[in-house]
Amino acid sequence: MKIFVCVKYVPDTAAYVSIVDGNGFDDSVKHVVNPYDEFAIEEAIQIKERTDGEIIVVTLGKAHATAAIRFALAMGADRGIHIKVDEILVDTMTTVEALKIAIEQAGAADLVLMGKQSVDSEGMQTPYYLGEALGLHVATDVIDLVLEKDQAIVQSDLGNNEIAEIELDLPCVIGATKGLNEPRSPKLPNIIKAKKKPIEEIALEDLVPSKPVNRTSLISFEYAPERSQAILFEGDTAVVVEQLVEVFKEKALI
Amino acid sequence: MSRIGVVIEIRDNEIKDSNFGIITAACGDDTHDVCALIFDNSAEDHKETLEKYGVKTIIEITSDQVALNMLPDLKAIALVDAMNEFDFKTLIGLSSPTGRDLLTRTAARLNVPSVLDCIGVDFTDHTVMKSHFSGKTIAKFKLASEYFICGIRPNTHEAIERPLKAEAQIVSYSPIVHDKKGIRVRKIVKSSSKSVDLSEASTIISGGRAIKSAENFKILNECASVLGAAVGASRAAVDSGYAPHSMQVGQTGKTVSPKLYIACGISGAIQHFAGMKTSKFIVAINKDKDAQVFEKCDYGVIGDLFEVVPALTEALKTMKNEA
Amino acid sequence: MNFELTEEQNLIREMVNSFAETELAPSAKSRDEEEHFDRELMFDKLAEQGLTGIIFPEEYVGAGADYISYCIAVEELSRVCASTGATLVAHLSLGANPIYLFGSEDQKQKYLIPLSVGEKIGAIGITEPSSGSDAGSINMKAVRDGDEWILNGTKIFITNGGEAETYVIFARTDSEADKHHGISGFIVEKGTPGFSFGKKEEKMGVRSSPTMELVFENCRIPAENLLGEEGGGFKMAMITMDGGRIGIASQAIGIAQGALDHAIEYTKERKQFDTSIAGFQGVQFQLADMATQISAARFLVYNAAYRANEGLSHTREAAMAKLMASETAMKVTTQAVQLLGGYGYTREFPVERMMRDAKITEIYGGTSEIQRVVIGSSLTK
Repeated sequence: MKIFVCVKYVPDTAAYVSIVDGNGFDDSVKHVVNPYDEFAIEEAIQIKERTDGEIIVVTLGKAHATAAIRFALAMGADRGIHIKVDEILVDTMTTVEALKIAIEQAGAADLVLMGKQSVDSEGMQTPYYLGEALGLHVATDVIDLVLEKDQAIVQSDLGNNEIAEIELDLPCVIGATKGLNEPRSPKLPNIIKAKKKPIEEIALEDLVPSKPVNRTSLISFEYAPERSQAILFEGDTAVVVEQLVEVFKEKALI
Repeated sequence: MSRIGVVIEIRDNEIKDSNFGIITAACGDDTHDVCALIFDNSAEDHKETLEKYGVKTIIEITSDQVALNMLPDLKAIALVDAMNEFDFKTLIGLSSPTGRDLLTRTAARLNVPSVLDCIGVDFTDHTVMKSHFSGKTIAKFKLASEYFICGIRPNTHEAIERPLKAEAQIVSYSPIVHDKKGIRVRKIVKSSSKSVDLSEASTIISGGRAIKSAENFKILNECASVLGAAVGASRAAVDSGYAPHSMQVGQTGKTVSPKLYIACGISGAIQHFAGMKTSKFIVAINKDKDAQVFEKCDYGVIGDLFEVVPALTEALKTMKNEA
Repeated sequence: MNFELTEEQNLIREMVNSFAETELAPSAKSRDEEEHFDRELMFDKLAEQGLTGIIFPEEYVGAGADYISYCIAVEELSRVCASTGATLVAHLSLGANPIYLFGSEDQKQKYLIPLSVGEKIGAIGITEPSSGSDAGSINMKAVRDGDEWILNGTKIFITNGGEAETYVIFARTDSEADKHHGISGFIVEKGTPGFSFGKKEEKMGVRSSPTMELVFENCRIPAENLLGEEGGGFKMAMITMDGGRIGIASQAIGIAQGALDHAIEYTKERKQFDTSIAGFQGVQFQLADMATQISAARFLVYNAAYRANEGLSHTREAAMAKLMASETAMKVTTQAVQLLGGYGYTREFPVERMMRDAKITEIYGGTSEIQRVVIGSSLTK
């Protein structure tokens, strides 16, 4: 089985994001593999452990994003493709076009896995667009995946305590989320072995010479408004609760 | 007057409340012709409600051949057909799991950009505001396309009634679609609990590590039933086995945006705030006065949740009885 | 010249960091208070992560990492729990490494592999009641009797003592030869008749790392357990100590970094006169000095590790690294306690433990005075 896993190298959620020039940010902060992508990598490895095959990790990002590939290789993926870009932010349409070409060049996919969203741009769309581009069916928010001969049977979390059971033809694109598995942390000997696994580098311009016309472009960034100093209540429980209820009434919250 | 299609989500035969806010957003200053899209034959049942919020047209999109709601790709194809048939290129819906799925499949089908989880939309400029970096920044995007498709985070737009003079018009549309059987929803399983939907609830009460056990969540459940609130949990509570993952708010859990969010015994990690930062009012109850959560909330109660929450429940009950 | 860590080294740091934070941090305080060595947590789990044989090649079921990676691992463990750092250094640098460096192929198969995979814990025995880390003045006796050696004597202050299964023991095999040529090394297994444990030390710091006395009374071991050549013990002990010093220096860096991290976090949160004290220049200067000293020491450690890795001489560099790192750890942890004020002195905050833990790094593996002797004599010989 040839499994592609798309991963993204994102600023650590705990890192402070500082906006530069109103439409960029300082990306020298600590980066990690997008947490949702770890579920996708783990799933690929578990499938490989059961059925054998090859896991190819694909990322699109600046030079430092090879670390995301190394991480996946240390977890157990076989090789990597790094689509190199200079910009910090690349829109979904361009990203998808590049991923599609890179995947097709590397051979026919039996399965494409990725996180259901990245924690930096929070787009939640790449699985759908990539599926459409590759001509494959898509299921996302996937918390359980069973592969049968020609089909994948997935459980997709719809929220509201509802779970959809979906069957889709293979090959397909899966957007992974928490619940699918428990991602392993790379073991030390595997980190060392990952050093020897190949990573192919391709420049974005070589895959996508001109960006799609229809796309999103970032206009500006601003800091999310911080709440002003909280009003704190302390002391006798009865009094405190009374004060709180007053606030609820005043703000029409109940 | 340009036409805006609004995908309406119906649950248990009723329109989900969070739809009205996005209808209001679509109405704007009455410059748009708001067209509600319903994927069954229930338009007549909802006509009165939708009129109240300014919907001029209701389009029922159904199929005689297949169950569209179980065929995500065909549903998107049907929607694309409807957009052509009724001539609208602006499409919005809730950024709920179902809404996201349909909107993005539709946009991908059209090969045009779309943005989900928007907290602000401008139908004229084709720009949207959305959270970025786990809620730390707000990004403004322009969608370069004649189409404008976006999903809006529930509860980010307040619903305002604007009754119409004329009756809303109902149109039935049944495009011809062929089931290629590539993807099919076999079934949708609901867990037995009849709790309020977390991601679209207007009030949420959540418990953190300090709740100490799964049983203790009943303290929150009791308060929630008086408040009509949904119950959430922090990652710490989920990881400790006190609550199922479906209740987790925050990174790797759900993103919520209620009017009132009550965080009980939650320290206030950035990963938790990533999921509830856009709540209108955040109230924190924590006995540690140095807890981070107090720096990022509107109202804080320094006290033991095991005392404060039951007292709050009682006070709210009394108030209700008096009313 | 390149000061960047490699991608692998960065990954190893992240991996060990998250392991330490999730696994070790929660119990670091209670293990210290109870002087509890939790073998499953402090050793078996390190083995699962591939840390117990980190520097050994794959043929001995090691991870095949370089020496700097090992330093990073010890540092990250010690940042959270110095006792676990001590366990790994004593096991790997001191217990297993001499077998790797000087053992026969049979010895490596029999003893190194179980140490490398972490089935067994290793330890070294040099120090005796009347001699410190100076292998030249060892009194313990080993006498050849047919196919066996008979060991008699006592070793003290043995890190991992009692818990370890495999010990490298240095004893005098020739009382006639000069002090540097009459010492030999032996591999002794726990459970060998005549080998028992004396008292467990009650210590100031690294309290969840066990320190014990080893007692040998007519302990007979097979002749093939002689490590390296007869009479080659002094040299082996000195080379082993060079590696051990790099390990201890890494432990010291970790302790210091842990204390600095807590000091930064605390001073940013602590408000005085309506502003966080981290905003005060007096506080910032202290933090700046602490961070600078740690960085300087860390580079000395990485330099020694690099040289060890490349097979270059590193006796002086290892001594410099340990001297600088351990004294930095003591200074930085003391300063961290000061910055946290009354809280720093309480056991609620981990910096007092770090201050107690730091002290041992100036003592074991050769005191700071010994390090100065090593450095000084290398300059003047």
